[in-house]
Amino acid sequence: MHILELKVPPVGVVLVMAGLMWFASGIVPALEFVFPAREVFAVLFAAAGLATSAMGIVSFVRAKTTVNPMQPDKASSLVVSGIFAHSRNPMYLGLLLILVGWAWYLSNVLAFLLLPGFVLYMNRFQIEPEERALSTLFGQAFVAYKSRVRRWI
Amino acid sequence: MRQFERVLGFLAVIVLCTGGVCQAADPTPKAERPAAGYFKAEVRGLLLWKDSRYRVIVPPQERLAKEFVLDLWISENKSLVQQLQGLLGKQVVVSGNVVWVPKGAQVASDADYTLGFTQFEIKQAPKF
Repeated sequence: MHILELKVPPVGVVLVMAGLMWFASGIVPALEFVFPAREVFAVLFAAAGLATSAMGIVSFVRAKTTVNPMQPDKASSLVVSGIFAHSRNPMYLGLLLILVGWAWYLSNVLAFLLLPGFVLYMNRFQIEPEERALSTLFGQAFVAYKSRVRRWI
Repeated sequence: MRQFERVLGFLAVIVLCTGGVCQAADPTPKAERPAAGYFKAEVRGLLLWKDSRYRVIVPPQERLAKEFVLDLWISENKSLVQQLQGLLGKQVVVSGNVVWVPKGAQVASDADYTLGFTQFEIKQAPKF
């Protein structure tokens, strides 16, 4: 088990990534591009991200299971319906969409190039440990769910 | 000299008692674990998602007898799960090896196992 697994809250990862994107855009302004509707795109993606994350949280609350991403082993039920029928990680997908909105707002190629870093970090240090815990907790039910629904979208 | 012979004799008795004799006295040879066996089976029944796993319910021939239930043990396999989802609620024919499989995620005793297929082929049963 790597020391970073389940250690940094996903919202913290988003804040760090957003800061990095802003910093990268500042140091290489030459990579900025002009996009007339950038603010509209930024707001649309951020709103879609908030809505996706909120739907995931609501599903968890309805199922009365933990929404704490640092303790997946405390999950009391496997939620597979609603938004979870389309993405295994809607909350993280929502955070990614918010970052995409931020990248549109910054309108800098470097900001977009940093987005895969968020996905890779989340896959390795958040989602994979969660999936190990859920496999142990829910066995065949989680195996079947994993086979039916993709990790992100 | 006589004392030296006594000491030697004493040591010989100790060696015999602790080493050779004791080792020879072990009457239980280690049994080798037999190779895993299996039932080869083909069943016709109703495929359901029940108790958080895929299960085939095989109706009894006798009216009052209990139905027979076999689990389908799956690993992560998109095409297989897609096939199983499409067959849910239908009569299927499953063929493969039947072994003990865990009922749930946690296994603590023999009671946590049930009979099921691990490697199997499944298709929709032809209508009679």
